[in-house]
Amino acid sequence: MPAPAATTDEELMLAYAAGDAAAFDALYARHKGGVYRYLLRQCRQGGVADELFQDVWMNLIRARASYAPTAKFTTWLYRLAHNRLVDHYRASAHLTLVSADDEAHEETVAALPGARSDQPQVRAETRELGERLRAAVAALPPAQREAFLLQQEGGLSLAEIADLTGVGMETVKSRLRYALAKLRGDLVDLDDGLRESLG
Amino acid sequence: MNETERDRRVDAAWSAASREEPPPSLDAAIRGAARRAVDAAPRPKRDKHWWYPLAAAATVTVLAVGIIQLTPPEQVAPTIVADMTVAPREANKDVARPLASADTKIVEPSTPINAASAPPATPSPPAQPPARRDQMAASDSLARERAEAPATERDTPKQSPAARRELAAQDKLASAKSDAAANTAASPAAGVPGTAPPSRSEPFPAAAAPEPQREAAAEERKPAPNTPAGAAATRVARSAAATNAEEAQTKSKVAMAKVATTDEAKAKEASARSVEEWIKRIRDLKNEGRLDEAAKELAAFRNEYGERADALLPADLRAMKAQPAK
Repeated sequence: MPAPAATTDEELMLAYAAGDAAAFDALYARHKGGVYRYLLRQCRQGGVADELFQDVWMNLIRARASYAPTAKFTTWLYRLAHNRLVDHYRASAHLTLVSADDEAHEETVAALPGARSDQPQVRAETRELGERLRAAVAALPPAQREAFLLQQEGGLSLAEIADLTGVGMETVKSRLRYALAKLRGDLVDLDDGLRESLG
Repeated sequence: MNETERDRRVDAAWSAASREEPPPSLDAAIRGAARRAVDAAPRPKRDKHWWYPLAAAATVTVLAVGIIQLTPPEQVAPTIVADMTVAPREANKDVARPLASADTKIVEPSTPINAASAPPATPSPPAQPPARRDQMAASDSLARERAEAPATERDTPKQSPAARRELAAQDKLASAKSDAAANTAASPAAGVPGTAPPSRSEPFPAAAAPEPQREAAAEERKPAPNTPAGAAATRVARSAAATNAEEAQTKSKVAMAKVATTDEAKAKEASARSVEEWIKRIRDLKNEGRLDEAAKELAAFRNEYGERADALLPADLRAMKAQPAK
């Protein structure tokens, strides 16, 4: 039984915690895409994204009894996803989330590989708008990409992203500023395509 | 949010470009896990004892059926069966027919009605000894006769004529002991121990004793000659009478216990059989012109049978005036 659209995420989560399985279905239908894409863009591997995605929702199911609507449900949900992603990074030990605007890590950022769209073969493969945009996002530094994805997929505010990632709001602003600048630079030649896609 | 943190064109392009969804199998797995988690949660306690009233109802039903199965149907039937077996007999029987014999036949297993229509009237086992059956039949007939008897007769002590004869004999023996100094004739029962002594209150002496014995008793009732030899003979007779009286009393006590139950039916039968003889005797006395004796006999008859006497007496004797029995 689908929950009414006016029902907030918090109410649905409380209903599910009280035993209403239909509330979970409504909640899942609302957020499954954003969480999945967030995980997929971060880990870039479909199989791993599926595993992480399932783990995130299973953690939500297990933690339903302890849920308290002290913050937005989306913040809680993406915190679960972020924590699971960090665990995955730690387990694989191949990636460290760093901020591109952090002056202390400028060298690390410079050492990062360039956008795949810069590569001729990739450019040839991503002719289409969507693919190039996804590639541009994927080419972002992880911290910027995470901030960008949390903003785009989760709809979180700067404060919520700052709270979730454990950094200050100004840091989040800086990360987003860098990410957008990068994307604009990569997508200059796609202005016409963007205009067409926007109608 | 200012321009640096949000670009409308990028947002639109990203919305159009990023449309991936989790695979349906993953959706189903996660939703199934969510439902299982909810279903596995402890339910409210309302369903915990749902079977209690059902178990109570089943227990009551089993007990009721068990009791019905264990209860023999004879416990319900006796009154009905007894009425069914007795009613036709009483409707068809003659007035002068002995009650005891008719009642005794009711409980006999050889009776066609009992054998064909119903189980034994009482829940007792059918292998009872004949003596027990006779006792039951006698008590049954006595109870039925009490129920049929008028109130005046029921108010009198519940004793059979034979028992009353025994008690009368004892009373006379006791009076004979206390009147040892008297020179009157000895007690009529003294000389004939073991036989039923004829008494004044006995309703039908002719039936109780044969005619020669009655004559002998009449002879004994005659006053002894007032001579020394006669006085000695009287004393000897009195001592013998006292001894015999004690023996007779002891025997009568023992006999009473036996006779009171088993011989009541026989006494009833004798009583019923003597009605015609008694009426014949009254009629004979009347025809012989011995109206006083006939009146006495009639009074004794009425005393014995009470209100039933009118029903038993023929019309010519019913109108005859009876003298009060002495």
